[in-house]
Amino acid sequence: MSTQPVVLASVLHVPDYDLWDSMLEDATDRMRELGVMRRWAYRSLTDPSEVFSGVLVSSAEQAMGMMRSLQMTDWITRTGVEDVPPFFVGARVASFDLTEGQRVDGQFIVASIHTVGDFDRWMTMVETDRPWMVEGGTRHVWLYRAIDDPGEVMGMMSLRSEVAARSLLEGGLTRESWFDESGIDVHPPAFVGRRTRIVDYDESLRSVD
Amino acid sequence: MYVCICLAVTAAEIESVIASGAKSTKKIGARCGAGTSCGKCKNNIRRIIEAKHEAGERR
Repeated sequence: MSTQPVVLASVLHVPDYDLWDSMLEDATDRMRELGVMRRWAYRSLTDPSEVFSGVLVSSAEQAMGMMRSLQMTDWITRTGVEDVPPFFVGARVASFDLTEGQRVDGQFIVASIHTVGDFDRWMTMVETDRPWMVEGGTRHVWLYRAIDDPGEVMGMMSLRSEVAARSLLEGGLTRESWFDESGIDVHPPAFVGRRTRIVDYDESLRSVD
Repeated sequence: MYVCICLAVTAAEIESVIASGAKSTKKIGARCGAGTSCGKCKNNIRRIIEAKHEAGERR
């Protein structure tokens, strides 16, 4: 199993966001026990009950342990979530800073979890799209590949504004794009949201993107 | 994607048992365990069954 850090991420339907958020804020010790280095949450711009949530842990083995823990299901369901959604578990394969070194607060995000027919071709497509992304207000891109399926990926793009985030999503869905197979089977549709929480449990991550 | 997080069962594993003839959540659970612990992933398993069924009809 991979020993590099991996993310566990999902799009959850959270009926009471404030309750859910305060529950996780109170769980710092438990997060650390489970090996969580960072957690984040974004609320959808189109449906506030929809939350793109994720954690970074140190290894795939740790991710499996956390995912299978009773604690995980408890956190998801205790505040009224009825269905446990599918989870993406993957390692980062690329990180593009499109700001030319400027420090940017990536408050808005477009995220997509989907399958790709040809991973290398997809990576090339993303590279080729850099100018289009800069023009559209993308400040940073993170790409992840699933540990359980080499054809499954997650892309996260931070945007300079809400307008830019919405435009990227709309534009991305009308071109041959990275989002082609999102929203199919268990994959959630591409997500556009505003950051509501980012917590570093590992102090050394504070200066890292 | 991990559909059943309690038992770490992936969408691909579920699709595989559907392809081998399991067409209900009960049969899928019996073959790979998905949905047999907390059971809160069963709606997602049903979505996969429906999607595979629809894909089969389109062929």
